[in-house]
Amino acid sequence: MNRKVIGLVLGLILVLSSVLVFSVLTNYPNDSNHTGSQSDATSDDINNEVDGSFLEENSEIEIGEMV
Amino acid sequence: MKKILVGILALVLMTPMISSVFADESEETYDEDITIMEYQVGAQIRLLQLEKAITKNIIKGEMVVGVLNETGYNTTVLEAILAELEMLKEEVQSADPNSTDAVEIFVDLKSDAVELTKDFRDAIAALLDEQTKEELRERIREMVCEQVQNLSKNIQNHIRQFNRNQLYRLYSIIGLNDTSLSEEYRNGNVTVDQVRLQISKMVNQMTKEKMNQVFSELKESRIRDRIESQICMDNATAGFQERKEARLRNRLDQVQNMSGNQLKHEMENRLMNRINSTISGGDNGQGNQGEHGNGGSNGHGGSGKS
Repeated sequence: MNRKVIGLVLGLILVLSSVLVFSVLTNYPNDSNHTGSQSDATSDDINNEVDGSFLEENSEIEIGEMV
Repeated sequence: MKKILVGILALVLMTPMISSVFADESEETYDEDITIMEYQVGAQIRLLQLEKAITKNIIKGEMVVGVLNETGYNTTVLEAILAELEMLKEEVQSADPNSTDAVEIFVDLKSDAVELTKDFRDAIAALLDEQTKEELRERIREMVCEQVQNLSKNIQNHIRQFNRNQLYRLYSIIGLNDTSLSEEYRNGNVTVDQVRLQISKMVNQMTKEKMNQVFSELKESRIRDRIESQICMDNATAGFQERKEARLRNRLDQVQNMSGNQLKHEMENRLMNRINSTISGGDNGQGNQGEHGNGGSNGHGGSGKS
């Protein structure tokens, strides 16, 4: 019985550790990109900012469907 | 044994906390809808878009009620919702986009539109099976309405004006005086995608220093807009319930002046129930926006930029 419980705890710790490692690995690169773009802008960076400045002419507001 | 179980429980409870620590902080919490409302033309666009969305839903709703009437359903509840949507549309039409609280008004009225649409959808769900609803959706898709088309044209004109202003702003950041592209866009000779392409070509010819300077200014401007949007969102959230209650009471007054019939009685009941629900805090207003989430926003709108 005790072995099963210990196995469960170890399994849980393994899952949590995986979540932590995944979170850390997927967040740090973003931060470094962010820092990089601040110091050295590319044409893509500017184009992204420019794209966001304009509205699509057929854009609409969503309030939901009636049916 | 108990200690181990407590330990497991603690670990399970800690999981969401750990996830939240590492959650992407860039997750947007502000509403895209209100970001452009600090500009006068942006506020006009949003109010017109809201009017169009409500108009479309009223027309769809009327079609559905017509079909249900033919098949002998009692449609009083649906008609009451549509009648309130009509009132709401008039409120949107009379909203002043230049007002200092234009954003607050927009957030409130959009929230009502989402709520009434959901009420209608729920009422339909209680009446019809999935197959009948799919048939109705098909008929709705084929509908063409002149009123909506006119609104679309009006919105498109305002969006072109907004984009032209944005183009001027970009020109001033990039340091260009040539306005030919802007004129071409205004006259409808080029699309917004072609404008983007032209700017992209200009950007590619810039020096590294110039790119850094332009990017920095664009980024700064966007961050400023987002901060203002966040302030707006906070302002609109404050006093939301009180404003909602006042709107519902105002509609109830209008209904009570109507000539007496079954529809009037249904509308009075619905409005009274919603007023009571708002007073008791059962409806937090912003929460009922469901999957279409309106997010709230602000109060800062209509600051007069154009």
